[in-house]
Amino acid sequence: MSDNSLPYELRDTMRKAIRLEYWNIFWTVTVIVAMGLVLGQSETMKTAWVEDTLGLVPPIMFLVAAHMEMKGERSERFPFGFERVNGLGFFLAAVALAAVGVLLLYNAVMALAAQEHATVGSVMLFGHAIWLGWLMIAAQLYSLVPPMIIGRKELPLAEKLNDKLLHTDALMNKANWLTGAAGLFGVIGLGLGWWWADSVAAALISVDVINDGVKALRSATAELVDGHPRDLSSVDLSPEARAVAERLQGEFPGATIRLRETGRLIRAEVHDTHPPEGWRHPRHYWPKDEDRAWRLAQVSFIPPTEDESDRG
Amino acid sequence: MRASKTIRVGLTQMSRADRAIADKLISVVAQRTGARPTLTPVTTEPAFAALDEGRLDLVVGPFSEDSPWATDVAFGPPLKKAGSEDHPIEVKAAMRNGENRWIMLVEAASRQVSPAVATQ
Repeated sequence: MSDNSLPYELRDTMRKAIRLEYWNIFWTVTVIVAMGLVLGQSETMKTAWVEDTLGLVPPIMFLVAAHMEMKGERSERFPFGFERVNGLGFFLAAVALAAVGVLLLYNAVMALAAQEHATVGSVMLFGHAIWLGWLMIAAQLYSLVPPMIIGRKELPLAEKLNDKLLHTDALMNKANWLTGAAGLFGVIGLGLGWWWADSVAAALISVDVINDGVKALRSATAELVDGHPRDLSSVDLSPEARAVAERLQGEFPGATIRLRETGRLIRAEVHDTHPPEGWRHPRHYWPKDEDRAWRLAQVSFIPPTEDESDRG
Repeated sequence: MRASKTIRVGLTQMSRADRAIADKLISVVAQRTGARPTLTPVTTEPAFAALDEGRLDLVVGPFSEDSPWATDVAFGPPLKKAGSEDHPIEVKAAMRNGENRWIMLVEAASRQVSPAVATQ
């Protein structure tokens, strides 16, 4: 048993994920700079830029949580280590996403209601006057590439680590092409003289941001209030956790099984039954794939009270 | 503007030298559009309101480089720079926000009139 919270078999995968997240931050910063240089007055561009900047929150949170999980040792003050830091980071990222999404939607709707006409003029580049819209389109196209590649690479690592923060980041990155497509529509629309295209595209992007934020918030809140473990990619109950509950129920009929999630780990309580004879590691109760048995970190037995035993 | 073949220009109060460069811009714009300019003396705030309401197509005059109106109207590149380092004043054109083709045309005309200043 290690002194920190991360199961031993996840160390190599975690290191790969950390490396990938550093690359993610680097490429995201290049996108933020490229988009920032050509923002102009476009609502679409501003919204897409804020979304790209927000895209830094999950990888930074992941890196902080990973550092604490790997380096933070159990102590008198933190006897369970830092396995829940990931959950806290996930919650903070979700709150930030949802709140900024609402703010962006408000801005877009107000711009639409006020019939604000975004100005996209020209800039001098290498001695030539170029319509800023072309540069915006180029920046939007560039902003699609890094997230698409990184998102695809993150997904299998997130599944292996059962890391919701990384998984949310992967999904956000993968879905970024939607934002890019909406952004391109907004800028091209401005070029065609459709003043409303800019605000409509910005509103669509902000709805996508809110959607990401609310989904993440529901899942993060469930973990913080000791809800049943949730599936990695949705707010549904985790099939793995259901299988653990069924396995425990099969072995201890009549007992009440309660599961909760602390970060990537599952903890089980078996109520109203006595513990079995002989020592068993919690992993013994993992029902399926042995490689994933690390997820079950604790199985506690709570025997019935004396009154209940007498009644029984 | 295309239908009436006229460009409604508002000119704020300015020096003789500034007026000369403003006139040059107006004549280049007139040449590029084939429209006849009609000039009206204006003061800044009512002129910007008139731009927004579509009663003017262009306002030319001296404005501070970091004008607080920059989000309400679209300024073209400067035709001339003056004032102190802390408070630079630029003679430039202001247009209605979002009229992107018109803005591009005036920007190009401004660069033609004062290539050295406009591309600084």
